[in-house]
Amino acid sequence: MNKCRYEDLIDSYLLDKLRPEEQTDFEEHYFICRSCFNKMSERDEIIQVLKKEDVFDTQKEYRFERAKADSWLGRAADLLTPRRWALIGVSAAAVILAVWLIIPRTETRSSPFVLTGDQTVRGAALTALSPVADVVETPAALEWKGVGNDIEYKVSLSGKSSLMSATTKETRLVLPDDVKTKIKPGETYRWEVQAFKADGTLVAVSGRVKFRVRPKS
Amino acid sequence: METEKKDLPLDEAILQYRTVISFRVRRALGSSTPDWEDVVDEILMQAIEKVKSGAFRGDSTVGTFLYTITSRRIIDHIRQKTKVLRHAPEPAPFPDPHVEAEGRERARQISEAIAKLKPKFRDVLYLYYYKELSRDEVARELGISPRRVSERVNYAIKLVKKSIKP
Repeated sequence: MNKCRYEDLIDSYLLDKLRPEEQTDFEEHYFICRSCFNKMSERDEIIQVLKKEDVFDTQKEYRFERAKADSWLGRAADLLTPRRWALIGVSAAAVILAVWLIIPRTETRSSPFVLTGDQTVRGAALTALSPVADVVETPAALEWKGVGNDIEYKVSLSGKSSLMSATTKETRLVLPDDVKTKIKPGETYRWEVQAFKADGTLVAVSGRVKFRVRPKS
Repeated sequence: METEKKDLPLDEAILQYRTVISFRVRRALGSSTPDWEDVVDEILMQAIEKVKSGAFRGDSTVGTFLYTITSRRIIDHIRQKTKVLRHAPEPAPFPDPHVEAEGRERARQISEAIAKLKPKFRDVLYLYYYKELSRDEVARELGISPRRVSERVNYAIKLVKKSIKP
């Protein structure tokens, strides 16, 4: 239903703000427009009460709440229509979804060795060979791929706390019995290797490799 | 308004304008004027007589015809009243207790509905209707746009109407 063009004059008429010719024009109009007349009489009833009844408690100097309007948040909220709010909501959801898709959801791999300030890695990464996943029994040794001759490997193994740290020139390290007894089925352990040249230059590091001894069923 | 009265006899159609005529008369004379209802009756009688005598030939709509009669009768009444008041003061109106009670109940409902409005709606009603500020002035006062003022006024009226029993 189209809005009557006189509807905008209702308030001005009821508040005596129309010019005499506008007033006459509007009065003639509501004699022939039921819609405008009904809207006007409804509004008039409310305005009469607003003006006569002590709705606003004028004795106490009614104070309207300007705090909200004065705050930048309130002003921003006023500028936003429900449609704009909906658009903002959809945009925010899209951004969250995009971030969720971009960020890898798999467990982040542990960073390689944390190098000390004076350490510099030269060459390729070192590849751990075994154990690298779940194993049936407590591993007898840790094995990795060598990165050349005359290299010394520093190996560290840890669980909830450090279990051992040792050096070797081999590409495997047999686990001492006291360490093996500390490895409990069902718990996760990590090990890592650093490769050093004879002059102490760090040439390669492995990733921090995790393994777990499967609990016996 | 015309469309609904097309099938009615003209005099019955005229009687359906009582509410509109009453509104116009009350507004012009003031609802505290004791004889505003008499003026409305006179207007309706005059209109029906004109129809019967053939003075209304249907050149204009019934609404326009009644508007013209109403406006003239209001002017006549005011002139007449002015003469009377020069000689004797108007007696105080004798209120109809039933109508008064009904009016008070409606006013109470409206009053309650306004009191229950959110402050942002009450504020806009207060400034726009009570203080009679313009839309632009209200907008400046509340720090919102004039369009938003109109939206709030209309929504507040809608909420009040909704909470009044028919």
